[in-house]
Amino acid sequence: MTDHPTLRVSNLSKRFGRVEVLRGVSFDAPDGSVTAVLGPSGQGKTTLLRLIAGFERVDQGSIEIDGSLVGSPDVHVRPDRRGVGIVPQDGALFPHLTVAGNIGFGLPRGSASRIAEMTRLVGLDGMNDRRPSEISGGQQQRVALARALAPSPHLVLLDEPFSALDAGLRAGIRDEVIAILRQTGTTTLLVTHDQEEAMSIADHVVVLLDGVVAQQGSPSDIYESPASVEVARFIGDANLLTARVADGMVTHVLGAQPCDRDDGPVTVLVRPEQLSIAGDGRPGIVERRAYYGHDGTLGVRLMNGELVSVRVPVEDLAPVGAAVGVVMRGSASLFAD
Amino acid sequence: MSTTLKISRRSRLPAPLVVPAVLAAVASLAPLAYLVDVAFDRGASYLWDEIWQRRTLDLVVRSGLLAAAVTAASVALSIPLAWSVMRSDLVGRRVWRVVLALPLAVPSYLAAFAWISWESSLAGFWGAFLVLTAVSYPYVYLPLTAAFSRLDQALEEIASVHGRGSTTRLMMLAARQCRGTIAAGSLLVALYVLSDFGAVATMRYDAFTWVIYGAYRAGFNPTRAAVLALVLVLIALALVVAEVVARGRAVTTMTSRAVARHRPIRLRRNAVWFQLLAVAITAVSLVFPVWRILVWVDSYGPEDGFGDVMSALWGSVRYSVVAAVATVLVALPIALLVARYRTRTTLLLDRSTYVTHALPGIVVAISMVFIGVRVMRPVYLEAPLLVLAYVALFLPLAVGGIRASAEQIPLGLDDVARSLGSSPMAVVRRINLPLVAPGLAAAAALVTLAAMKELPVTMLLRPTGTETLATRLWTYTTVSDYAGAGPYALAIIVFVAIPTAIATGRR
Repeated sequence: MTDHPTLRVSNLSKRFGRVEVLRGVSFDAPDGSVTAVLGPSGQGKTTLLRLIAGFERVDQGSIEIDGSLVGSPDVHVRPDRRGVGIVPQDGALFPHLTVAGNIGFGLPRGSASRIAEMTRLVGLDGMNDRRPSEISGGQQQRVALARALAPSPHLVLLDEPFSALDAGLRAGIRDEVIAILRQTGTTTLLVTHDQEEAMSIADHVVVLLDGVVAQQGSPSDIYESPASVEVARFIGDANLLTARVADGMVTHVLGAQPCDRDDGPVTVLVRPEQLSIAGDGRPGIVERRAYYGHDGTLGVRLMNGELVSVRVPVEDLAPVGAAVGVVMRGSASLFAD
Repeated sequence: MSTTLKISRRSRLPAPLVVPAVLAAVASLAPLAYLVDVAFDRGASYLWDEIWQRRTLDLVVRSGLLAAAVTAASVALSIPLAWSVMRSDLVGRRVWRVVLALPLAVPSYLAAFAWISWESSLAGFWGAFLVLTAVSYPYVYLPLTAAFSRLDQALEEIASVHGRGSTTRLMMLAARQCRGTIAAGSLLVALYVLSDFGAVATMRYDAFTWVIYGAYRAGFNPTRAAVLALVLVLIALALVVAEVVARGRAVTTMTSRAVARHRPIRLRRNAVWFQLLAVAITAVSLVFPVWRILVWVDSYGPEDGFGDVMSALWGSVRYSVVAAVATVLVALPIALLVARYRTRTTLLLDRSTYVTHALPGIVVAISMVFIGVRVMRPVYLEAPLLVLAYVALFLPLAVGGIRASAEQIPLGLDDVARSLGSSPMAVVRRINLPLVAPGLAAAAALVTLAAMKELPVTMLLRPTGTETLATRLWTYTTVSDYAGAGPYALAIIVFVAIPTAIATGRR
């Protein structure tokens, strides 16, 4: 063990022509952790991953793997010497090789036992001689994982690895893949646009908006205390309400709480699950109703005209047009207007 | 462990590919250098006078019309043919795949003789158009079948789901995805027509090559031949530029999935039309010439013995196979660079080989005679110079074929291989080469066929005392001794058709 994080990205910038894709991105991926880089499509996630893997050159800033510099404006370690495994979105299995041939690609000759070990690890015993075209999408993805893990890389990069899979299979394969990565103690960087995926499997989430790290922290930090309205909107459902600060108290339609801001208008964030339906709550009219089986949400128009989303147990799913009361628990997050 | 990481400052085009590629491209331009040299022999004003003549303009128009018409017809035929044999449930598609590629094996002069010996009024534009379309459409058809076979089915399925599933629409959807392949194939056809000698000579259509040959032959006027050839090169360059523009506009929508799956699309009642088209094309381009040859063989007198035919066959096979292997080896670095690393340098590399292809065989032949006499005296009229001339002549054919298959390999595979510890050259060896192997075999087959039926270079550069099928056939047909030509014509059909069947049957 060293005191370096497995991956350290410092102040990284990259431009293509006039387009600045990444601006001053910094984060660490500690040894053995699962870090998710989360952001909407086309905001620099894939570029970040390609820079770390060594397929692109660094314009500004630096990338360190296991404490040694692999990428900076002056230094570029070739991708084949970085010890970084990648699992692309489509698997990118070598179509001319068998499952065993794919898994063993990064290993020296005569590594049959390692191949067998990896095949067992991903649960594909007996499929060694199959071709990529003869196995399912989920199996292809597991082969891609085994292939990336076989040479014991410092770091594994997963590029939207589950988005090409059927929704029904996705969660299962995702959990399986993460379990394998945890079991082998592999430091993992996952790039995804799926916030639920990032929140459920990562130790550490880096939110990348418009080429900039908008926030980073544990999933609960980011969910509960988003750094900006943009992050709040991107991570989960958000009720953003107008509010006013006066004499150290912030007041909005659903309540009031102390705060240390200067007087003036602000925006507050209230998550739908902080709200519930009660007879003595703030009155409103149900405008929307969604049933999810395990629970549901109501869209309630409050007296001041604001529409809030309320997560409710199934028995509280009132019909559209019903008059209900909304109450809030916990405290709201504040953002300056 | 991290201290063992080596640091490289630039990772650019791999040198083991660049060096041979650049050498090959430069060498392939040697015949052009000779051409320019000879064209300026009598000074620039003579050259200018030769160009600004009514007969030169007429020549341009006649050759241009023919090339445009044949190219358009080839694309129009190849799309439905290639699509129906690769993507649909056409009955007998496996057989059709092979049969429809066979016309490539029919030398243009042979087909032209078959038609004109049957109906002499075909002479002129329409005869040349008919014959050249019949023998050159496979230059679009073949690469298109390869592209269709690796095309992902997803788009066709999406189209079906959205109710846009009519046969024509599905076909055009697939064709649109392969625009780059179609454009490249069209370029090959147009250049084939401009370079063709046999068909226009036989059909007495005064196109460039026939007139250039006349200028060279009658009174040996190399300057006028060289001047006309230069004009021809300029036209070819215009074609090349057009192709660059077309390729730039055509967005490559090839599958990013390494593993393409497909299920044939049902043609139902439309199958009749596709069957009829395939039958008609085969009748015109294959059955008819073969029938004529059989008629000739039937009236065969004892002109040549069996031994003569066999020794001519051996002459053809020997040099063609050696030429094919050499050409593919020379073309491979260029094709890989062009397909995997698209930079200004690699594009230039690619285009340089097309310039050579735009030179008619007869001009390459004359150039190589000169080069042989001046700088390669020891191998003049020996096998190495003949092989060298074939390589110069067929390099673009091989590059085009290999590139078409190398472009289909998703770039993501290279990235993954790199991250698994492979150097750029190891990626070439372990990923690119195995995946282009079918393309290599197809390219080698194309070159073998082209060399076996090639005439002018073979005529002028064949080692002393060597006869090939093509040279014997030409000798007889120039004196309209069809009966004497019969056995050679038959041998060409049989022995040139086999490699075609192998090359296309493997896919």
